[in-house]
Amino acid sequence: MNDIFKQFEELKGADLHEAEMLKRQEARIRAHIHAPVPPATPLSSTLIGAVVITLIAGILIFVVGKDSAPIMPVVTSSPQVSASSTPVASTSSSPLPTESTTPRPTHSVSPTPTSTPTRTPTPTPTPTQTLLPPDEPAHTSPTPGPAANF
Amino acid sequence: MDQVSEERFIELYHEHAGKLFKYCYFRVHSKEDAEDLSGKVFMKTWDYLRQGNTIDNMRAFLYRSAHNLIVDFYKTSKKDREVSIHAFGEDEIDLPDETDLAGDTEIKHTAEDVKRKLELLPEAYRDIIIMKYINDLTISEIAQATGMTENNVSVKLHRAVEKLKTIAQS
Repeated sequence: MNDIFKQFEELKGADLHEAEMLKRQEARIRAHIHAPVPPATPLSSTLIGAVVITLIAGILIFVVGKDSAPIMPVVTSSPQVSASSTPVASTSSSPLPTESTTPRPTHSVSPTPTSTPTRTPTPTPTPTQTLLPPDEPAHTSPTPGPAANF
Repeated sequence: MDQVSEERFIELYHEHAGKLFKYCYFRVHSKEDAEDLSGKVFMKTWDYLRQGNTIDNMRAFLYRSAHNLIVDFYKTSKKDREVSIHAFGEDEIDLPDETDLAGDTEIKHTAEDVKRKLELLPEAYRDIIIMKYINDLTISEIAQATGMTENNVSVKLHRAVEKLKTIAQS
């Protein structure tokens, strides 16, 4: 049972290493001692640069995001409202909330350039009758006349 | 310990290198690994001193460095072994190299026999047994080297001895 402790005693005083090993190690350690210390600045400057760039990017994202923040819910919640602000709203197929009260004018089918959007809200029918093209028979000729005979 | 000159450090190396190699040899599989690790211990110690740090108990410090390096060594070698098993199969596992030690044949035989028995102990027990009975460290130095309290070292040492006796009897 005590053999193992006797063996420990034997090993305590024994040298298991070779003399050559010590020489090799000593040479390696001396080389390590004389080796220049690797500068820590490249790594640290890289890290600092990365942190600064991240911070700047974060600030920019925050600022830009803050400016554009009111637009985003309008676009996502109701795209029709945003379409009404555009000047081509009359061509859109969806009825706009502002134009729904006004009657849909005939200017969309009339080829005359006088049918500007400023004239459409006027409810008086007389200007529209004068602006109609002359080839419409219903208004230009009150009587059927001889044309009806043909 | 104040700023150490190169020559003083080499003296310290010659004073402790043999025993530190012995400690590493009983903790790792091969003589080459033990040589490599014990050399690294002195390089790390030199770096520590070069940074302006001081060491009160050089022996305890060296064994602490060796203890930590061996823990790291097993972590990395475990990963390497897993990779080699997956890549090439179990035949590629590095078997312990217990030959080619210095000293006479009887000492070699004793060292190999002791190593086989120690490998049956749990890692923590083996560490303490080697420090106490082969490297002749005090309880206080073992506590500093392993990061445990002296009381804890005493308790573990007692259990380790009991376990070792059981192994030796079987």
